[in-house]
Amino acid sequence: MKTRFDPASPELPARLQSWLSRRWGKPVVVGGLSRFPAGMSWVTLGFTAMSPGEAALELILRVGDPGGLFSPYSARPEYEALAALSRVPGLPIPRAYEHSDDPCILGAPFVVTQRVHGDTPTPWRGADERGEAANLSLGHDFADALGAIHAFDWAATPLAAWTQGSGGAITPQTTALHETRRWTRHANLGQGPTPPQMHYAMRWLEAHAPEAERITIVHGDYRVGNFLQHEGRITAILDWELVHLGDPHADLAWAGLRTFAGGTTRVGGLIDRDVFYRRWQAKTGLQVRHEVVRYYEVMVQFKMASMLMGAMIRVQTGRSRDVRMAAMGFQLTSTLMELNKLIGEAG
Amino acid sequence: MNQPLDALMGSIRRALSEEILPELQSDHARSQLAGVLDVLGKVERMVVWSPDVTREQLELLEICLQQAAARMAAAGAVGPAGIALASPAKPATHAALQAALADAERRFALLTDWVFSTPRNLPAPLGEELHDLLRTALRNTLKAQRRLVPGADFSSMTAPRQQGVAQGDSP
Repeated sequence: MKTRFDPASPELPARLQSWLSRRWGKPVVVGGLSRFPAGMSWVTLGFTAMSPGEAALELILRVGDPGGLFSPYSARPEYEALAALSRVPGLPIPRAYEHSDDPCILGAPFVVTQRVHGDTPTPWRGADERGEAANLSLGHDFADALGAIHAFDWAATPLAAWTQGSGGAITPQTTALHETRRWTRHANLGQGPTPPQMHYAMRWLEAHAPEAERITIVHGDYRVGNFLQHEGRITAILDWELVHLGDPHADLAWAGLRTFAGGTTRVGGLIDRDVFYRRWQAKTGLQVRHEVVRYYEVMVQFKMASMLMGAMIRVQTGRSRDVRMAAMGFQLTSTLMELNKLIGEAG
Repeated sequence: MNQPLDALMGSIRRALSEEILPELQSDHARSQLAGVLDVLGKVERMVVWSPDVTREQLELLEICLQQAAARMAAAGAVGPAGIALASPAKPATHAALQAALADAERRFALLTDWVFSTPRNLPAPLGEELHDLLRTALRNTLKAQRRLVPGADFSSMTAPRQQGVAQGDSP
């Protein structure tokens, strides 16, 4: 029987407990289920799982709320990416334990991961307060982890199946067009209200789509605010819900967005751009193609605007109960102005 | 693309009744409340979503379309039909103004499609001129709209109660 996901439901711990007990073939007691603030997409809850005679596991439950920013969701990409990347030595990611897209279990897709301790620097403030040494070490970790993700050979993993995308095969020639179409659909362009700037940007992206030098795992939301840190070192790269295969320049451009720079000129407010690129190049063996970065700067700004439009649509149609999505809608105009500027700069 | 006031107010009511009330002691309830406060703080200013800005945007688009048509004609290029009105409408009501803006945006999209789909057929300077015209018009319409929109405080909507000691995942 399909059930509706409710993070405050008293039945949630029992449902989770029952499912984990079946999956692990032993009694599991779920305790301390508590929701984290932050985020407008997946609902994140911490909990402990205890089995007789074993140490308690501290875990995270992430649930793809049907009202969330990118719904409808599947937990599978996040789980498969984390599972595949667990082979990369030193890459700070949480261990993925379980996942399911079956709505009969909790009412929505979900993934269970290791809970990693640390705090989350926000992209909007704090770059100055952290101090130069912490920013530098975080910046190095930030660049190195991204390089490791992009250097990963996914071809012999279950991720190889991702090349058969829902809109056609993902190849070096098609990846930019796939991304354009993905965010065009998300914003409902052409089907609903379509800001002329978005229409122009869509055509620009189609007309200038570059060929990727290498198809890699693309995190999709790689930025300050989506990792945990402890004492100036990254302890976990989080928020893999937008992971896909594509051009790694998309992550470089997203990470380098001015929005996430905390008012500085550095990538994420952490590290000078040339240092970030040098470390990424050393990890990947690729060269940053600056004209492709400029293209993806336009793409990720288009994506940002699409996300904002998606939030507005969810509020207007009553699909989301999260009032912060209404607040997101107020950012659309300034985001479109930046999009206009970036297209002008990219030529 | 503005947000209808009724949809905004509806979302606030839903957040108050379904999100905040049941969880007022939690971090999540506090973050929701921060969002409500942020939006409510802006609602007063939304009453100035007046016809003036819509009219200004309409005029900017119509001027752009007129200029584009004139430049294409001067260069001997045949663009999409009907992008520039012989005599632009003077809508008297809010609904008519919205309809006129929607129609101008539709013609603007036609021109956009055309300049991207036929660049090889255009004399070199004309294509660049048209792109400049389009981007300038877009920028100016956005500038007009931005005058009404203050920034959002996402930091307070996503931060845990005690800065720097939160543990765990963050979406």
